[in-house]
Amino acid sequence: MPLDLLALLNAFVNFLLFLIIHIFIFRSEKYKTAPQVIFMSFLLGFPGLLIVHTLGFIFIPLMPLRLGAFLFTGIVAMGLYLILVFHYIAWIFGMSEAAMRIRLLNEIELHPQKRATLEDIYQNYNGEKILEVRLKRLLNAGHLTYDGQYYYLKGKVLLLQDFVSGLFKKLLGFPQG
Amino acid sequence: MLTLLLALFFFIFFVCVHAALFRLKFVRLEPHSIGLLSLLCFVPYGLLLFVKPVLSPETWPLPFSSALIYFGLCLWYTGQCAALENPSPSMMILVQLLKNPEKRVSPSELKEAFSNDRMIKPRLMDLAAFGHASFDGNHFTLTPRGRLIISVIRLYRRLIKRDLGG
Repeated sequence: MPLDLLALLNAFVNFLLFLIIHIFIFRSEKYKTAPQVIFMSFLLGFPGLLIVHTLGFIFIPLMPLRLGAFLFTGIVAMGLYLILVFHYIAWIFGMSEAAMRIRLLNEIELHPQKRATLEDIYQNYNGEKILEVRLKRLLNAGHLTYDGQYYYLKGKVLLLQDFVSGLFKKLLGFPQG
Repeated sequence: MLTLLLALFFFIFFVCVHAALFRLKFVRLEPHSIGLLSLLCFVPYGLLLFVKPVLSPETWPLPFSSALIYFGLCLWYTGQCAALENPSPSMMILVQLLKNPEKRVSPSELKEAFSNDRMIKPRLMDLAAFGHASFDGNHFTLTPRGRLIISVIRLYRRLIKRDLGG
């Protein structure tokens, strides 16, 4: 139980630290790209993990003072921290940054009459705008290049996601093609 | 270590159960049905971890941590399934790129793929279907649930001083 408590506490404390750091940097508005902020904030959690982990082994009663227990619980705490940060990025930051449905809710709410027709929505937010924003994001992140005539794939991140989606489709029996 | 392997084993068990039920058309890809199934699949795992522990405390079982790992993996799986029926714009761009033997795509080809009928209408209908907005045949209006969601998200975006994306 003490090991479990330490792993969970460590992961949550450093996840909070990650939240505070990246919110602080975003609010300072002194950054180039959002992914850089997220990544740096995530990395800064690792020294914190080591510090909390070591202090926990020293000060929490009934801890098994063995190297194996120290390493194993440390790895579990890192894994939990990774899971928490990943899901924050995917479901909270990522969704508010990129989800079209969220943006559509906002477009309807922003309309003076608090209701909107399709044409009202298309004036501010439409397929072309979505494409423009997404291309800019992919170009800035280095996933695409543009030579003035065509867009080309760069790097393997998008291909990796496509590969994972392909695996899921096979698993669930989606028709191919 | 065995507890972590158990977490992974029960996650794989959950994935197999979901895949089998999906193929038999007993479940779909909605997050709430996947979530419910993950809870059901957790029952035998929870019994092993908490009611009749397979390992003694001296062998470092970490039951709560491994339960969190199991649910973290299930949540990841839920997100991946949701993306299958509604591919993101980034994936749509990739599909257009991969269609071309030279793995390239022109701006005009992309514009054709990103029509309002493909990008906006289906998502607005989803919002109505999920109860976040109502549609009277002409106008979309947010429901109280939709207003709550957007208020919370706007508050969060104000906190990090970034405009809403999309």
